[in-house]
Parts: sequence; C-alpha cells; structure tokens
Amino acid sequence: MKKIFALLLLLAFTLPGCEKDDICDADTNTTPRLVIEFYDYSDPDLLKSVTNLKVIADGQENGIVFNEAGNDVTRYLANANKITVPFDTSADAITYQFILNANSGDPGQIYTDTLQFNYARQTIYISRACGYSVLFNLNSDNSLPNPFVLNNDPDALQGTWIQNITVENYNLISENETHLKIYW
Amino acid sequence: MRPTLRFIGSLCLMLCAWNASAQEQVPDSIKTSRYGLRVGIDLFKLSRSFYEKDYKGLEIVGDYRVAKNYYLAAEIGNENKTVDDVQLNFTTKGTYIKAGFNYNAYENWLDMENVIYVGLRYGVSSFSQTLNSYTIYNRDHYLGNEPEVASGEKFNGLSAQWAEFVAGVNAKVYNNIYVGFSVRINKLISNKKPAGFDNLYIPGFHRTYDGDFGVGLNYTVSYFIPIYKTKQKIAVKK
Repeated sequence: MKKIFALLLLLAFTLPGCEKDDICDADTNTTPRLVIEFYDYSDPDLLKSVTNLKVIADGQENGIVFNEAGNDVTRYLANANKITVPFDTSADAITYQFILNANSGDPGQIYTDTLQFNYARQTIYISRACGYSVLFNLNSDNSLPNPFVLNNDPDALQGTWIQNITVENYNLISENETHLKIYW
Repeated sequence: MRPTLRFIGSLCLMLCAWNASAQEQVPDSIKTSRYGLRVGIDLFKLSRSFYEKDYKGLEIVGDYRVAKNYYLAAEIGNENKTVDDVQLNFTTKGTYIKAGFNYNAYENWLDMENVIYVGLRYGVSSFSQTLNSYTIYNRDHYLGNEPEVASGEKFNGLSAQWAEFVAGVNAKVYNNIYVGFSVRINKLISNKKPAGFDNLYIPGFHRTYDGDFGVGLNYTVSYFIPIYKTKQKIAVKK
C-alpha cells in the first residue's frame, strides 16, 4: 500500500514535466515577406542579379540587411537575383527606395526608384507557439490603389533603372514563391 | 529408502502439519462491508486558487459503491484559468463533468476500507475563451518588433469530450474521513474549436498541445456517508 502510494505520488509530480516545448518551428509559415525576383529586361526569361542594391523603407535609417556577414556598408547591399522585403503589419501600405549601385563613388551611377506597395492585411491563427501571423494581399481590385506605384506615378512601369514590373502572386502566404518580378 | 528422500518426505509432512495448524488458529470472523456515498473536494485545485494568481478552480468528487470492488465515480468542476504565453494571453472559463467507474484492486483485511483503484471516465466540458492579447509572429525585425495587440475577443459555446484513464488511492484516515489522490491520462474524443483561435486550455482536461493527450491529477479529502452494510463470514479452510 505504502509503496503504491509513493509510486503514484512520484508519478503525479513527474507527469507535468512531459510538456512539449513552446517554440515556434522555423519551418512554419508565419508572417511572409514580399519575394522579388530580378530579370533581364532584354531577355525576360533570364534571371539577372542586381548590383549593390540597397533597399530602405520610408522612415527607416538603415537599409534592409541582405548580408549579415558584411561590414557597415556591404551588409545593406544585395547582389542577388532574389530578395525579400517585409511589409508593415500595422499599415496597408509601405514605401521603399530601391537604390542601385548604392555604394558607388560616382553619384551619376546611383539610380534610385521608389516603390509603394498597397495591400490588405489578414490576421490568422497559426498555433499556440507561433500565435498569430499576418497575411498580405496585394490590391488586385481596380477600385483600390494599384498594388505597386513606381515613383509616385500610378501608371508608370519604367523608372530610372527599373524597366518593368509584374505581379506574379497577389497573395502573400509563404516565402516559397515569387510574388513580384522586376525587369531591368 | 535413501536418507535424502526420507528427509524430504518428513519435511513435507512437517510443512503440511504446520500449515494445517496455522489455519486452525484463525478464528471465524465476520467481515463487514459498508456501502455508501463518498463525497469530497479536490484540495489541489482549491489550494492553487489561493497561491496561483491566474487560476481559480473547484472540483467536487464523489463515488458510490455498487459492488464489492466497483464504484460509480464522478467529478464535477469549474475552472477559470489565464495563460500567459510568449505570443498569446488568454482566459478560459468553463464547467466540466466526468463520470465513470473505479475498480478497487486492493484486498482489504477485515474491516479496513482502503481503495487502490483504476478506473475510466467520460469527460464533457463546456467553456468559453477570451483572447486577451496577442503578438504577431514576425521573423523579420527590420520595421521594428511587433507590439502586443490587445484583443478581448471572446469565443463562446466551445465544448470538448474526452476519455480518461484514472489510477489512484483513497485511504481512510479517521472514521469516515478519507484522503486520496489520483493521476489521470486523458485522450480527446471531440473538440469544438472556434474560428480564428484554438482550444488551448480545456477545463477538466487541462492544457492541450497539437496532440490529443492531456494529463491531470487531484488530491482529495472526502467524507463517507454509509448507507447500508453487508456481513460476510470469512470461510476458514479446514
């Protein structure tokens, strides 16, 4: 009797220890960023890496960090054919400056285009550990502002270095797909 | 006869004789079995209500002996629990009832009335959840850390049902007063979840994760109300 009592007591105190960790799995799709791919304007099927592209959101001091290992200058520069930029989870629009050759010593080589993204937000429940995430839908309805506005001109598709932009995916659900293509 | 065989033979005889005499020494005795209702309260939930700021709970337990080793058993309770997780803060309020039986696996000596049991329950819980606040999960911190968003959204009319395996003891400490405790392993059978949230805590079932299993325990003090007695003459083998 006493032995069984002790055993049950032990069991009672060890059971609450068998809990799963409350950690949001890194593979879980949470709040997605906009995935942009860069293509060659003269050969639209060809991916073309940008050169020293700096991307800064309006109101931010520094650019998006594309290169964690870089120094104070190079960490903000992208030299890839694919980048991700975050959307604001507390507003329906965000404006970024896309600065090509941002570290050039010659101001004539620095090209800046401003892109404003307009979208709708949707808060969805994921799980206990991850909580809620926000999904974004780029505006696709004509009655709403354009999904993107280049250099404050709603009709523009061409900027100083950007030659064309297409929306591949209006719904931002995961970062495993390309949402926007920029041709240059 | 060889000496060893003779020795074994005499040993057997001796043992039989000792055994027989031992049985003869036991007097005829009357074993009284009391049947009745045992009602108690879970001290674990009650004490947690005092020392845990985010918890209020009460559980009344009861069992009724229906056969020599079988008891109908039930627990009725109410819980109000606020969980503060990294991403979420919510409050669950609700009532539950669990009903089933216990099987006493303990053979009492004479008029002892202890119970070491295993049992099964079917649990039903009806509850509501309030999402107090949440933080958007965002791996990107370029635009700053996500603020905590106050919500207050209430999800009503939620329910869950589960099966529960129980193992526990009830020991008589004084007259009709019993103390006991039990551990429980629960398996969800049905779970009516709200849209836009999840049943992260179910009263009576306890906290849930992605799986269907839960665990629980209680420490009880009970009072036994005797209703009738049976007398059984213990047979003595001659």
